[in-house]
Amino acid sequence: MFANQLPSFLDQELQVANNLGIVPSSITDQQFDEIIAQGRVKWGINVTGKLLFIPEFFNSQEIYHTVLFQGNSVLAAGLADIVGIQGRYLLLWLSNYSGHYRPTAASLEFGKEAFQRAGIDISQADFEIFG
Amino acid sequence: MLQAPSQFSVNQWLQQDVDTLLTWIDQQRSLIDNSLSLSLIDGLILRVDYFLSERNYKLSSQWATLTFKLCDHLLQNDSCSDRDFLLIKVMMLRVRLIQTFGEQNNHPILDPNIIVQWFKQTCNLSLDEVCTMAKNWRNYPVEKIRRLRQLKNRLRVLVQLSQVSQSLAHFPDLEPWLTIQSQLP
Repeated sequence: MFANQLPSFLDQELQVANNLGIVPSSITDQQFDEIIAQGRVKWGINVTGKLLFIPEFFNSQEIYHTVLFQGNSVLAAGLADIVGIQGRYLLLWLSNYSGHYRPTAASLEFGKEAFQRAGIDISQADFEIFG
Repeated sequence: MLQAPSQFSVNQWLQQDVDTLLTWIDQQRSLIDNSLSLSLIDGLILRVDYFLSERNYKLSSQWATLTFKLCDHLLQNDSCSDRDFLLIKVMMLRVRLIQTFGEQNNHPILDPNIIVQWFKQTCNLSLDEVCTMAKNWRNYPVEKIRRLRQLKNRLRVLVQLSQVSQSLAHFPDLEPWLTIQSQLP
């Protein structure tokens, strides 16, 4: 598990996301297609194995990984570029980058498995390890 | 002397005053590993955002200077593999600063030309090429689609800048790029 390394900013991060109407999405949520169509997304997996996504930015405002699970610890987190619509998704790029959680390289494997389980084609993706 | 942040929490490190941190980054930066630097950059950007929300120009610009300095150091490090996402992160911060305090030519933080030049220097596809691929990108190999997505992520910064700055009117060559952004994968 990886804990939030910047807990003193949590209230600020959640407040900004709340003001912008940011709600974390799973792959089956209607807004998922809209989020990935905007560009790069942030992803995270919580202790129960739930995989959620948020946009990297809303307008120019960066949205932080802590918004995914209200600042709680995660099994894995990172960035992703995904294309596709309506249940047919192709992963282009996946990384374990999160300045807040600093997940290890091993956590990227959790990400790959979770993306596959969610039905995202990861066969042609680039994977990038931080740390 | 201020300790390396790996020896105590990032939060404590961020509680130092700006001058102490600026000096420390210059003197000790080789001690900071990349992973920790990325964490520090997130913390620094959050500091800037906090002062932006208070419209505090002095502290916003001081912490932004610190952020850009650490980012520059990180980008000079050969082991920094993905420069693209880091640059997008700090360019978006520049957009937020311009949005709050207005644009100012030749200003180290508020000059929109810094963002424009960054885009032009990193754009490695021609507009004609992009327009052709955008029409039927699904038929292209994944490597090409990946390049289009990278371009889209960078163009996102330019689109946001166009909404807060008048300066893009001086760059009519950028107009078609702004238009095509939403058509890219």
